[in-house]
Amino acid sequence: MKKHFTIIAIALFAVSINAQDHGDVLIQNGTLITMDDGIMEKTDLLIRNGKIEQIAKDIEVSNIKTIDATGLYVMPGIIDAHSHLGIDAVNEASNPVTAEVWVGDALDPYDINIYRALAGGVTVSHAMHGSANAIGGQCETIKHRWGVMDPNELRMKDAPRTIKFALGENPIRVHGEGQSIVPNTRMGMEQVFRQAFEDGKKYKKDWAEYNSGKTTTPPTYSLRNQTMADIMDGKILIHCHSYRADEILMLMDVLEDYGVDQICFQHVNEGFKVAPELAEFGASASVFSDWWAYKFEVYYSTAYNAAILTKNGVLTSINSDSRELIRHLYHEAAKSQKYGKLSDEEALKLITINPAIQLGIDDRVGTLTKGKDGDVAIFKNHPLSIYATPQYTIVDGVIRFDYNEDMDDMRLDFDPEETIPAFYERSEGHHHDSCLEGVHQH
Amino acid sequence: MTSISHFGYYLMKIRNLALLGLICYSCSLNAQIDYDKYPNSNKSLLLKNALVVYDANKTPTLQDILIKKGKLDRIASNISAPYDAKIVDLDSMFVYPGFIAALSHVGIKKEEEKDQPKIKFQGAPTNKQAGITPEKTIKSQLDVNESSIEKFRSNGITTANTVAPGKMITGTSALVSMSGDQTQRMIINETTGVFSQFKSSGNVYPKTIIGNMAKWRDLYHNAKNASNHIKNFSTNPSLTDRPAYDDATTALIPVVNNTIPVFFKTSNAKEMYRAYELKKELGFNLVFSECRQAWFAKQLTKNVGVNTLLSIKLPKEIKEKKEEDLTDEQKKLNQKKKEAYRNYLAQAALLEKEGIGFSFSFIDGKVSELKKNILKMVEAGLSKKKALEALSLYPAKLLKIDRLYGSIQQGKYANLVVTDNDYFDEKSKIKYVIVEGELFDYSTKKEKKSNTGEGAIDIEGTWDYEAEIFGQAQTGKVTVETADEE
Repeated sequence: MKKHFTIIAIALFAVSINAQDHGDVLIQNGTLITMDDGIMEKTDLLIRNGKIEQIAKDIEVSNIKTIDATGLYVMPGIIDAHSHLGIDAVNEASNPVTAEVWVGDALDPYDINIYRALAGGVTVSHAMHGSANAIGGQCETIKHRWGVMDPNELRMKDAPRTIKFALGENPIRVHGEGQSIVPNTRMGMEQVFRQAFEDGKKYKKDWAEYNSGKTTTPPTYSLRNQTMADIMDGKILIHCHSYRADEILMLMDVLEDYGVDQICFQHVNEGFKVAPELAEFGASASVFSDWWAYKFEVYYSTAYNAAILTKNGVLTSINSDSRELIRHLYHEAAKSQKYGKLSDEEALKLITINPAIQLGIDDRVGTLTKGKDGDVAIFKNHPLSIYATPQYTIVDGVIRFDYNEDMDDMRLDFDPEETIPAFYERSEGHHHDSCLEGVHQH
Repeated sequence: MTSISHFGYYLMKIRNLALLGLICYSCSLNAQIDYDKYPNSNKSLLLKNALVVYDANKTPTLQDILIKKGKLDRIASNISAPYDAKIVDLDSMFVYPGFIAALSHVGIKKEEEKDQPKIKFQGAPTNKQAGITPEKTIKSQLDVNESSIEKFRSNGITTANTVAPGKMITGTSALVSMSGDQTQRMIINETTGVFSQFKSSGNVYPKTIIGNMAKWRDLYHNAKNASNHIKNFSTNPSLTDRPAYDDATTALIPVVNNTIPVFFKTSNAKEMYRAYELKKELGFNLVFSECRQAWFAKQLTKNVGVNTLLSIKLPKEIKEKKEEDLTDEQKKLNQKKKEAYRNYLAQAALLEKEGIGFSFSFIDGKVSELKKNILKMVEAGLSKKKALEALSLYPAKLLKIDRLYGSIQQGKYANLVVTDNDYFDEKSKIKYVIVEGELFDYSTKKEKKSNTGEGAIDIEGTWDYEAEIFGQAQTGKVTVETADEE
């Protein structure tokens, strides 16, 4: 009996630690949608050591894992600029400003939703703090390396730091109504941002004075104020939860006052109203295809939003903000063809190179280009077709999803005491805002 | 009328007895006045014919053990008894080093829950409101009469590292001996570390794991800055402001200076990685505590040289319906659950195989299940030798007391566990526990139950009495023991 126990345990161990983080694979004879060099029919793509090494016809290499992509579509791994999967905490909803918290501290590599996203061809997602606070917290760009045990292996190393801001009803409801403090109105929202930036400025100045010997008592260390200073120093990209046009303009004014020019507005349902202003500021937009009316400030919306923004020169992506939508982002992108007649390339950019630019990772992912990461999604039927089904999803040259090897229950971490499969405990749809996860409804 | 309050082993039982019976009881039950305040200090104790276990994988050695002044004076065959020695013939009972709980809440009185004033703004609580109290030592809460002490001791624990329960940083831990009748005398080392956990502070900042991690960074950096500032001030007081005192900051300075570790409760693999990230970034000494998934993070435990305490808690094995009633999907799920269950049981065995040292912590598990669960771990591949070391020598080294505790060796404290058979035998029972020379007898436990029957009053122990004799009040103490039946 004893031996039996030991052997099984060790076998599992071996599986878990052999999960590599980069690999080699040759994809043969596919239709490549490169996103930067057009469509290439019957072409091979070679990934070595996690990087795209060669794109050509009839590549000859031996001793390598091969995928026959005859009749299949090969595109860059899909990127979701707004999600909350792979993390154990979304909202530190106690204070309107919590710039110091970081969801990268709470990575959960065993979250089955990572696998679910892979099943939709998504290889990179932006795990974000929620929208309970005006300045919520820092986010983490993750690679969907399903199977790794170490949370650190989910991180996309060297991806720029990003931070979540939020406008409108959520922070007002949580803090104004919930705690009777500022912000209780949209006017208050503006002051919360200004105060936080002022605090960051003062903090930077205080430390500079202490370090130069001008003062002798060290200022109280505050990661919150340090983070605000880092934003003003251009070290952190802002991703701001937003709906209404007036507030979007307000925040751009605030940022201008503090010399901050890198911002991506998230949701931005009224973005179509201020598209030229966004383009002028250099702000980008990450939108839903056709989801709105889940609260008052989200009624004035249109499914043409992505197309209008794109046509006005605003760099635009389509995101999921949902564990379910992330499974079919390619379908969400296709809606921009019905609503706005975007071209295939324009539509696919919404879920590949555009979100990559918004996350500051376009030098590594977003197109099928020699030297970039080996992140690839392979589809049966064109990804913008309603009949599209993902066949393989490859991250850094490792096949993380294979349609033919997709078993009943792919979870990594089993609770030996669970009585029902945890997956069914949370049936979810688009009933409420997942940006408010972890916050008690008032 | 006379009232006597029980101060013995069972704190909870407070009873009234009539004065009339007192003298009679004294005669029949061999009661004595408690003049011998510290029973372990002077008397010798000779354990005859003990099977001394040095290595639980090997056959024990038949020896006598002479204990003087609480320490192991001699271990040899046929020791002749000194004139003052109490002799206990163990008649081939097994003798193990006393177990050490590397982390626990033993002996800590429960704090009375006061109605906290409602905190209006959640975002900026005081450290105390947020459950951050590293300055809290066990001194205010340790109580020699706390019922958990007897529970731990009767399960073989002779020494324990203990800390108050709570939220994010609960307090400073101390090493205590499971003996004596004075709370202060239990304390061996009052500062062994601070205890932290990824636990929500409830309704105030930090509510979440991400807030908790950020708060740790602030606390640590401020303690570090304070430490430097205090140094500067002491060398050159005229050139800098007086450092502002702060409870939490001051209590964390030894952590910053690496004189004490942080015992971090890391029940699952993710928490282990998170605590390690903090350690790596900030630089404190870390002890992974209450681990239940260390097998998930094996590379971490192996490569980073962090001390590891495994939980004594194991998952329950769930009894499922008959296989034929299940769908294929349910059968597959059951298979995975069974594999997971085995992994939890085999955690200790796997660490042993990897050459990773470990001990046990007693935070979530029940000490009464210690033996049952150790046996499950042994069945899953853990060697008895390693199991015993994890309960004795390893924690002694971790807590830096191995010169005096942790093994049966001449000169060390006489902390022993005596069992009627191999401890690792399912049916064996603990018969005696010796803590720094003080003998605790569990050999009559069972008979007592059968002899006294239901409703019998357990009067054994030390009692405070208050008597009114001829109108004059007198107080004192009596110890009541049952007479040896043999």
